[in-house]
Amino acid sequence: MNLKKYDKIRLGIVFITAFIFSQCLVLHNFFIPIMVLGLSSLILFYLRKKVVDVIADERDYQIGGKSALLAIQITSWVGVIVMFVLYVLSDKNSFYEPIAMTLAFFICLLMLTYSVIFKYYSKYSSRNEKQH
Amino acid sequence: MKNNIKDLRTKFGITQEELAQKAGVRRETIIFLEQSKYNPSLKLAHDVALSLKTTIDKLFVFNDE
Repeated sequence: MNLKKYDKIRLGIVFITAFIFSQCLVLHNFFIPIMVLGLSSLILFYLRKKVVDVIADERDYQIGGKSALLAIQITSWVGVIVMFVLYVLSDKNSFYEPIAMTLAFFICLLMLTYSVIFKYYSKYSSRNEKQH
Repeated sequence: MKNNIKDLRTKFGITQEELAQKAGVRRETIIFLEQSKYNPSLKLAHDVALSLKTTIDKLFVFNDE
């Protein structure tokens, strides 16, 4: 299978999965979306193995790393600003406080996960890197 | 950092797609390499040089040379 065919099939699977997922959530069914998500992941994993072309190379990984870092930084800053705004407004509406707390913990978790993964890769990546 | 990838590729009469397959990367990466918009890893530089039957020092021209 070539990359173009794989991309078309992937797009179709994503579209069908998103449709089923949203419809099931509207109908308050949580079992089918999980099954569909798992099944589509397995199909995509299987199809990925069948592709003979190169799906991603070192340039993609480099861009991916930079994009991920930037996305984390932007998310963190936006999250912190929104959190402070919600805290300030929590006097007017008490519902804002738990949202602000959740946001704060989410940002902390995001930063912590990033730090742990970064530490792991900086320590072990040279040893575990796949030989091409 | 400049390079002679395009010159050597045309000299050998191979397409960007073929060179990409030989080096194990996507065609876009070869395009960026030829335009000197991407600095490859030592492994990729070696693979490209090998595919074009040359060496890294002959393929890439460093700014301080």
